[in-house]
Amino acid sequence: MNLIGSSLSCKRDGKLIFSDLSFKIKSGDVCFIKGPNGSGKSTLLRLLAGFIKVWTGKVSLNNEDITNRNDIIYNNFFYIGHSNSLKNYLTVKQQIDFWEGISEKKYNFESDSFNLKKILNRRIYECSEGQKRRVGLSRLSIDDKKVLLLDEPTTSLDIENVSRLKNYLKDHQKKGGIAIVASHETFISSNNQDIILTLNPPKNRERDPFL
Amino acid sequence: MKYELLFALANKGILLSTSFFIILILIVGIGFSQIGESSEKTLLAIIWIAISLSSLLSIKTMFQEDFDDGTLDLYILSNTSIETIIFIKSIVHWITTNLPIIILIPLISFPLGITIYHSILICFVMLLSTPALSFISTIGAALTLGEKGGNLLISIFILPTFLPIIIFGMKISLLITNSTYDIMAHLILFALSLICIAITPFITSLIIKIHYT
Repeated sequence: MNLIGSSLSCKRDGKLIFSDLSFKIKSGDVCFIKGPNGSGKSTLLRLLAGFIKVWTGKVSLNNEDITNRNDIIYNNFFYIGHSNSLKNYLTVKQQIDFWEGISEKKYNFESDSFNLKKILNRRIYECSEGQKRRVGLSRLSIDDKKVLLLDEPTTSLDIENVSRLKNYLKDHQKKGGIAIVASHETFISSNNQDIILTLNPPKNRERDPFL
Repeated sequence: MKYELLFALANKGILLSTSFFIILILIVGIGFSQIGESSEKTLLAIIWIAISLSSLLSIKTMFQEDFDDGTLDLYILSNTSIETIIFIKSIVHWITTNLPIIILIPLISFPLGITIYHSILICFVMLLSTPALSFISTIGAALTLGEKGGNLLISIFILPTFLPIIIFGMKISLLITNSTYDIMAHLILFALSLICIAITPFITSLIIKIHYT
């Protein structure tokens, strides 16, 4: 499996976010997107997830052009953004049930990748930020897609849980999946062959759309 | 569906819309009583106006909350079609805002001079026509997604589109209190309602998709 982006550019509200971006990712790769605030990391992920239209350029998966082909994207890509998609008044158990209902797959409590067993009966609003993030990330192991798009997954996670996430990503690598992670932290995986994609804000941009 | 109901109940929309409805009826009723015009005709008009206003009350939260916490992203990425989700959301909205009001109507209209038999008939008419109000309102909710203070905007967009339902609903209710019957008016009202139910999920999903791209 390979994912290739060639000279991608994206415009939002008439402003160029990034331009002429190319990358090539193959099975078992973890790609880290780096860059200063406002350089378009989240935009790139949302673009790959099919929420934002590609302005110019091409994205292809397994040599098939999937630019703006949302049907294929939805079947292969999995996106977790800044927000954890949680409902405050549900318990952790109910929240997971709800996601299981949407994706028609089950969370594996045997392996329990994100250590949720202890907080299953807690309401979301009683959880700390780190616990909320863990519940949010548990969607990863409910829905088992090939390409993971993670936006700042380590936010408010402690060291132990960052290593859980690493382990999860390593397993995903072994299974031949692809992960694209926007993160300021470097949590390089074992084989040290991660691709690092650096985004720089275009120089001719008049105003940062995120400020 | 189960979870959508749970979400809606947690928002306490039922309490909000029913109390709004009762207060509106009381205030307008008292206002009319001062000029000595408080007939059952005016009461019917008030009921129809109140029910359409209260169905707009909690509409803003319908997509906004899911949009803010990212659940809407999830819905769009999932295999379930967004139309189905909108359909379920509209039904849940109807169950939590309009249905309790309809159940209340015989209770409040009996002391105000409409016979139980007539008010039950009116309830039946409302039962068949108010789903359209909920379904139409979703268009407004989708249009004002991400807009601050969109509630007023929704009312401006959506209230005029309630007119056909209110006109025919009002007409039928008047006929019922006169113990007459007009099959055409009934058919047109129910047809309007069915058309809304059939079409609006597609329009709303289109708006949401445009909003995302």
